Amino acid sequence: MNFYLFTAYTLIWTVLFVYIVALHRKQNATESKLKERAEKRHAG
Amino acid sequence: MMRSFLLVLLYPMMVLALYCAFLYAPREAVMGEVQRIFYFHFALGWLSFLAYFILFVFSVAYLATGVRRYDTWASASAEIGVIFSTLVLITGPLWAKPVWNTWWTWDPRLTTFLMLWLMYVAYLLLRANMEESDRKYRISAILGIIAFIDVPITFMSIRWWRSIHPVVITSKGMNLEREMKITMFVALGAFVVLYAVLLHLRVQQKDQEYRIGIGHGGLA
Repeated sequence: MNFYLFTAYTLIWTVLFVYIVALHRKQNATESKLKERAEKRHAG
Repeated sequence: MMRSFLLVLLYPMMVLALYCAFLYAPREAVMGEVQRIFYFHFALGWLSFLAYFILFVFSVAYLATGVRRYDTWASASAEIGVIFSTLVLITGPLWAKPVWNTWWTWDPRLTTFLMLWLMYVAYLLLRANMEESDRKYRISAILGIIAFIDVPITFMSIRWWRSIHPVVITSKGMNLEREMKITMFVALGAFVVLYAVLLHLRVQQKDQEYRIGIGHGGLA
């Protein structure tokens, strides 16, 4: 396969993958904070 | 529900887009294999324009109504637009090097697109460095509207000025073979679905962040 073609498609998927992983991590952090808050409210 | 449907649609569409780009579309006679970069480059470019258009529409809506949720949609769209534009600026030079024999040239299309990218990066940086307030949303909306002026300029740059950037869509139609046209639209469709999935996800996240009071800045 052509070097430039391979690099272009690899970079497209790498950037998208990194972005989706970052979103996923952010989602986990937000959800755990929401859960923590709900537990505090329940205990109070 | 909506996101699940879009995700189910996204996977086969992306696989189909890759199949078309690598196997279905014929090898371009002059540029050879490297021309296959074009299919995703084109789709990402158009989706950047769409993302900035959505940002523009919601910025106008925010200024007209003051409803915070419009700002959430606008900022989510800006973030995805910057990701897509970054990929356009990566794939473009990778195509240009073997074809133009240079990574970058100050061509009208390249220059206006770089300006576009810089403006939306500035939009995100501005948001990341301001406290959550109506002032932040108002300033962001104004910047979102001003930055959008560059979108039609970028689109028309290859028609208004002398440019070496290829013109795919002309007043007479498209300068492409049938299989190439189909591949281009399949890739475009796949990226429309990807954009919709990411936008939906990001808006939901920003709403959650707002509810727990951690602001709704970028990914940092």
